[in-house]
Amino acid sequence: MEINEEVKEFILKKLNVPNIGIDESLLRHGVNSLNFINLIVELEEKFEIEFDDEAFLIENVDTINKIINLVNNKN
Amino acid sequence: MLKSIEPFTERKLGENCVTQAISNILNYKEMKDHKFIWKQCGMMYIKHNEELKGTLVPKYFSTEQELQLIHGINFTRSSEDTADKFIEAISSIILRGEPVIIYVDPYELEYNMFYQNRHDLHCVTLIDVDFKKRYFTAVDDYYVFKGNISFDEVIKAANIEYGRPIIEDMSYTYITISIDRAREPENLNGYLDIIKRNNEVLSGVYPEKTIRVEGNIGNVHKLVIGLEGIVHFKEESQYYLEKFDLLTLDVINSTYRVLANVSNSRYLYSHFLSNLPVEHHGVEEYYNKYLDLGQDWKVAANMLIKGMIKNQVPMYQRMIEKVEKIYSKEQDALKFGEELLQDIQSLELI
Repeated sequence: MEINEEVKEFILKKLNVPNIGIDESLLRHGVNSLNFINLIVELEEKFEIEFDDEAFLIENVDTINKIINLVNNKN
Repeated sequence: MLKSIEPFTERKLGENCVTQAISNILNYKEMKDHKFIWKQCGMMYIKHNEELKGTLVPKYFSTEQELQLIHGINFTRSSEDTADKFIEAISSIILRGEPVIIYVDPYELEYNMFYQNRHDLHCVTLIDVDFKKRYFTAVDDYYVFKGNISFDEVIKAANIEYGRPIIEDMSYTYITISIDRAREPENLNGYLDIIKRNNEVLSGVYPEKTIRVEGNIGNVHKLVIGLEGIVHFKEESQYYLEKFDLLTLDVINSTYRVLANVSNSRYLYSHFLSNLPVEHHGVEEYYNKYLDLGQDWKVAANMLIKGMIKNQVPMYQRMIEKVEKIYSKEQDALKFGEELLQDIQSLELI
């Protein structure tokens, strides 16, 4: 599976949000700092990467697309 | 119509469940400029007798006063001592056609992701009541929910045993908002007075006797007013880390809340500053400084969430280092604000 698709599916499953658009803000779907950081940690473990400080801020990475870019930049 | 209120998903940076619920009500009441009503930006370090390390508190006067200043919004917080009185009081408010915000523990709310999982202090807005079926219709802006909650569930959720350190008993507590006496924002003077007051607190010259921290702060062992409080927080957090090999989840969780609270105050203050009624080239830079500070404090807070999941001690240490960097940025923003204030006054823009 292509990595972008894999990351997207992983996010949707972990955050338990409906199949939303990749540029839609996760904040509108009740995602908050707690489940967001949980997701970031699980992504780090799954892809064996470590994100920089910017990844600690949902405001900076509030869409699936932005998270995919973050993962791609670390791979 | 009251029942038509939907969850307010236009969450602005720095909003928590309470400010978001208030925003939604003000939006329903068609109040303009409700994005800019939060104006406190202070800093204090408060440590109690029994504590090994204290807490940072950015708010130094009451929410009632904060919403009255400039905007004339009436914020009324009340409590009842029994469940029956509580149900009666909140029902009568709804029957008058007014929404009512209640404090709840999401641990008791079936729709919430933290149901039977994690205690917290949260709030929802009640917009309708059905006595026959014994339920309220609730709107939860923070967790984006609208639905019915039974009287029994509301009673359980509003009987809050859990509370943040400086807030005592929040059980059966509710809030109403009135804009009957709201006014159009004042001229620039009102805004400058608030900036001046915030700067006095941040620089530590604000008189201690005029400080009004919400809730019961108990026996204070140490109170440091101003940004200097950040140094005390950092040093005592470092001491705590070195003294104890193991950090408990409670310690990490409460420190997270402290930092998130400071972050929110900076974000909200940046919104307030962005609405200053003055043409001056420095204003944009000024509110961007507080926007950046909101982000920085949030990053520090979120490091601790990661610490709750794994690498507790390294993440706590990383948070302390982040706070040290934030301290110098706070000083820079304060200095900038003081100079900007002088400049605006000397240019007689008021």
